[in-house]
Parts: sequence; C-alpha cells; structure tokens
Amino acid sequence: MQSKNVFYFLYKKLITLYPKRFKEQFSESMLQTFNDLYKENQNTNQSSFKFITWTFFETTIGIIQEHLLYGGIMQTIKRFGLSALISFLLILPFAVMEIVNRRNYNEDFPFALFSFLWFNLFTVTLILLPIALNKWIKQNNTKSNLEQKQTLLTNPKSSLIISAMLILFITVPSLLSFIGLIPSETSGESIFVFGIQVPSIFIAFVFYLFPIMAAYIASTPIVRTLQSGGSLFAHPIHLVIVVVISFLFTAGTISFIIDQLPCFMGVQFCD
Amino acid sequence: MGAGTLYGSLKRMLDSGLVKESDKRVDPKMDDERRIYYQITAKGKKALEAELERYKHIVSVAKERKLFPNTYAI
Repeated sequence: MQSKNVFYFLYKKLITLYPKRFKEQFSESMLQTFNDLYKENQNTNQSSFKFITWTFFETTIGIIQEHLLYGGIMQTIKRFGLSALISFLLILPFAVMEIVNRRNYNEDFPFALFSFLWFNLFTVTLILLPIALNKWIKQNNTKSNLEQKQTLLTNPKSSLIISAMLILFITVPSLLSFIGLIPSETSGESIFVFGIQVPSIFIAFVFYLFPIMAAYIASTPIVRTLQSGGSLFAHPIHLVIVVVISFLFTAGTISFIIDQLPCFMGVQFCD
Repeated sequence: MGAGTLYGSLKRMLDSGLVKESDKRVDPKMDDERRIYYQITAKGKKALEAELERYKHIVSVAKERKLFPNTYAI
C-alpha cells in the first residue's frame, strides 16, 4: 500500500509536466485511470515493476508529444513556417523576372533587395495570417470552445499596453526628428529608419522590428478571441493597430516593388 | 494502450468534435461520480464510416493482388 502511494505521488507529479490546458482537462481522469490500472495489476499478481516502468515511460512520451506536436511550440513553428513560405512564393515571380530579364548585364543577383522584400511580406503575413485563418476556420464551424488561459501577451489589456509602448518608442523620436528637435548629421554613411538617424544597421533593424512586434502582440488577443468563437471586432483598438501597421508595411512593399519594376523588367541602369 | 496515449487521442477527438462528453450513466451501481463518459458525435460517426470504408478498400486491394499470406501469387 505504501509503494502504491509513492507511485501515485510520483505519477501525480509527472502529470504536472503536461501543457496547462491538457492538465486542467485530463489530470484527474489520468490519475483515476492510473489508480484503476494499478489495482487491476495488483489483483492479477503481475509484475508491478513492468507496469510502473511502462506507464511512466508511456506518459513521458505523451507529455513530450503534447508539447512538441500539439503545444504552442509547434503552432509557432507552423505559423512562422507558413508565413515564410507564402512570402517566398509572393516574391518568386519578381526573382524569376530579375534572373530572366537581367541575365545579360553581368550583375550579381540582388540578394539584399529580395531579402528586404521577403522580410516585409513575411512580417505582414505573420501578423495577418492567423487572423485570416481563424476567421475562415470560424466560418467553417470548427471552432474550439475550450477555455484558454490568458498570458501577458494574450490578455487584451496588457497586450495593448505593450503594443502601445512599442509604437510610442518608435513614433516619439520619429516625430521629434521630423520637427527638428533631434538634430541629425547627414555626413558620412547615415542610416535612417522611420526618420530617426541610427549609428548601425543592427540598431536600424531593431528599430524596424518595433512596429512589427507591436502589431504581432496586438494581433494575439484577436486570434485568441476568434479561436474561442468571438468576433473579429471584439478588440477594436487592437484591430486598428494591426490594420494600420500591416497597411503601412504592405504599402511600403508595393511602392518598393513599383519603384524596382523597371529593374525586374530588364531595364539597364534602372536604379 | 496507456493513459498517455489514451488521453492524448481523446483530446484530439474532442478538439475535432468527433466525440463529446455524455450525461448518460451506464450502470449506477458501477458508477463513480468522478467518471466522465464520452459519446460519439454525428461527425465522429461520419469519420468512422469513412475510415472503415478506407480499410475495406485496402482489404479489397490486398485480396485483388493476392497479398494475404495464404494466397501469395506463384
């Protein structure tokens, strides 16, 4: 009886390693099943060692599977992977045009230009794709009605505050620079991002990430609401942030493509 | 099948709407109030039918090609 209590205690501890939602839904049933199977095993006088080893091993595999295949990690990888693929497919026609039309000019393939294009489209897709997918899923009546645990990023209030802070962090210096309160030196190789002069390309990239992160964080409660069957307009301020930032990035990308179109079409000295 | 596999599969079936929790109690004498019963849904029945149809097709292909151990083609 003593050993049963020890195994029961250890099994209870093992189950706590499941993802939160899974644990809340099934931990009690799993413990009950463990109890029943243990009793059954004792009654049939079979080896307890074999039963315990197998049960603990099998449950550990289940925990890893839940985390990797069906938990947040896999969803994030899928979300990033799908966005990366879609943006790659969107820039592919321009890359093909560039290769076909400019092969006679003995110029290297403009990897930097296409990386920039890909990254812009990737960020827009990353922000909008989950909203679009969940809206579509909802319309097809396969919504999940399970209760979802709120985190700092999924809680509408905290995500809005974080998102607003990220936007302010970039818009305030940008506005100050625009009205001339932050002096800028135009000599040398200046790097400007959103009108702010920065000393290195790395800092420029970090600055560039701020509005992307703001839109991504603002989109999280919208996605969560759609997943639980709610309306797209349940968080209007979040939606405005997402739409405005996505629009700015899309418009920037389109104007960049239009600007570079002569190069894609094979015009020499197009830059 | 252990509890890890069982409840993992159950979760996915619940998420997909193939099964749902049931209020029906089988035998009150055997019942434990903590016990949760599940029942197949209409969507689950359709999925089961489709899966059985798939198995039937596989078996018919295996029969056609004489893949059963005692019917190997010579």
